[in-house]
Amino acid sequence: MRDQLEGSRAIARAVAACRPEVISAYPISPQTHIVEALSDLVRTGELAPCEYLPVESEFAAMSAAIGASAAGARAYTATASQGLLYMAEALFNASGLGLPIVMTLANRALGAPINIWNDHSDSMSLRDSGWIQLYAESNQAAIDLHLQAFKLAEELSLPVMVCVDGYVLTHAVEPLELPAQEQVDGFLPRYEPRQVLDPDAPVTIGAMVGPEAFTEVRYLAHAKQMHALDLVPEIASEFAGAFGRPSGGLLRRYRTAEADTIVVALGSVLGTIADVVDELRDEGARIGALGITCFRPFPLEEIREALRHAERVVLVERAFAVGMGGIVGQNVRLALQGQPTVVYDVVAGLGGRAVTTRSLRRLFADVLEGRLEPNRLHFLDMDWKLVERELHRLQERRRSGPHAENILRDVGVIAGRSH
Amino acid sequence: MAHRPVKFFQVGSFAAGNRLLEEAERSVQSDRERANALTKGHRACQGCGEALGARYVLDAALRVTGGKLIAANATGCLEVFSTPYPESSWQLPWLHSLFGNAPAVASGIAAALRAKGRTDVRVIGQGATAARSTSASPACRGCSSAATTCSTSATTTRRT
Ligand code: SF4
Repeated sequence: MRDQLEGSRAIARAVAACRPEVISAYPISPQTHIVEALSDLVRTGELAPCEYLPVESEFAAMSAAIGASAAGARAYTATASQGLLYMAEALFNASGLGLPIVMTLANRALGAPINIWNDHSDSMSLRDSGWIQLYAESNQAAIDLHLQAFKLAEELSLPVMVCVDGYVLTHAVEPLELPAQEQVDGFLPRYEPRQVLDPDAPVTIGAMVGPEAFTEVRYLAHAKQMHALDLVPEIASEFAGAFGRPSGGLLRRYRTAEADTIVVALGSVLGTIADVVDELRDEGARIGALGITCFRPFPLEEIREALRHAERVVLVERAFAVGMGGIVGQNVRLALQGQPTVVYDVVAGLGGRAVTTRSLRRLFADVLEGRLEPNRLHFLDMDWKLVERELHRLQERRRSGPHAENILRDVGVIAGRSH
Repeated sequence: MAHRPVKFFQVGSFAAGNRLLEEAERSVQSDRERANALTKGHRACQGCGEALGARYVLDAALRVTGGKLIAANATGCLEVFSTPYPESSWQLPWLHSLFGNAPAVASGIAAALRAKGRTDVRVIGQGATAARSTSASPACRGCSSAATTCSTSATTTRRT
């Protein structure tokens, strides 16, 4: 059914169609509209049977989801940014216990400085929490990935995080194809837990494991994620058969045939990148894009294959590791081991800074014409003057003051003289 | 419960018990009706108050729920001594998640049971975060658990 609605509401409808039995959530921008819509569907009885728990924190949200999932219910939650960090301890617990919880992450920057806008710092900071991570390029992809996420999580008995760019997607209103309930029921079978708290057949879930078996139990989590590398494409093709549109999978290639330059990115920025690729292709450049839909498990072989013929790979990253550099870049380099490919790491769109076609055109032109130094960390649209002024202040005086305030004075957001 | 002196009776296996005594002389330990939620063989210190406390609470809860009970345990001695791989002392469905989230985990279990219409099953959760030990803690002397988190005293039952 085609409808024009906000991304968050569409995600809520898709999640509801998956018939979650327990939803526990704490609101945080830009995730709020998703859980608000779901709580409404539970209140009106449109989503039933389902228990909605308005818990006191994100830590409690994930904890309640853990309890619900272990008791055999299909469990769902959603969060963003600081909320994800607040549930960090429970994230590792959910994956370690092998509980197939599905969570929407409305991607948002991490403080400090506090910032509510979109980037991937939150999901990237917990990329190794044992959760499968899927990244949505568009709101349609977000809808479709949620249906696939429940199936994937439950087949593997592992939790899945569906990462959706905050505001850019969650708050965008557009025409979307919403799945019919019968279609979803046909695609997603009833949840059959591998382990369940049942008084008629008692089990001990979450027992202590010492050195004699800890490695083996941890390895099993890895083995399940490796199995996901086969399952993700299988579920995607099953989805295409059931819903008549391609969606999901490990990677998405965009005009990579005979491309000597391939831009690699995750999430909604791929739409803008595709527009620039089209323009440059029209002008004769052999450029394409590769979207990583499944970042955990990391599809090493598939990425190696997709980039095999590229001479240059440009990473456009929405987060970075302070003191190290690009995060996706480190992973992609592993896939390119032994290849002569030249890699460019570019951090873009932090804290909601718009990644425009104009900036990307300039960036790709710099790459194609050899003006960008490879293997160094670059920042798209960085205001170096601002940075240098602050670095200068640091040298000038001991009590140089807070960076954020100084810089806001420099850009004129705050009136008055900087220190 | 009326006071009853404990009378042990040594059996051939050298286990001490009083199940062979006359019904009227038996202590609560050998009561035929004892649920024994936390069975023998665990690794608590001798005379551990937490083990006893947990078992009494769980036995009572199992009795009133007719055995339809699920436990949510916090990290701590009780979880450690009762479950090291590959043994479990738990005779009822049991979940251990983290140090500070047992009440929230229990709420999740209860919500799942409500959604599934299992009104016959109850959840018992351990209130770990609310029970940080103080100097007036009733923990046994030298109890290492008391230095971190002792939680038996805050055990509560939740209706589903
Ligand atoms: S340290 Fe205390 S709570 Fe822990 S097992 Fe020993 S007596 Fe029991």
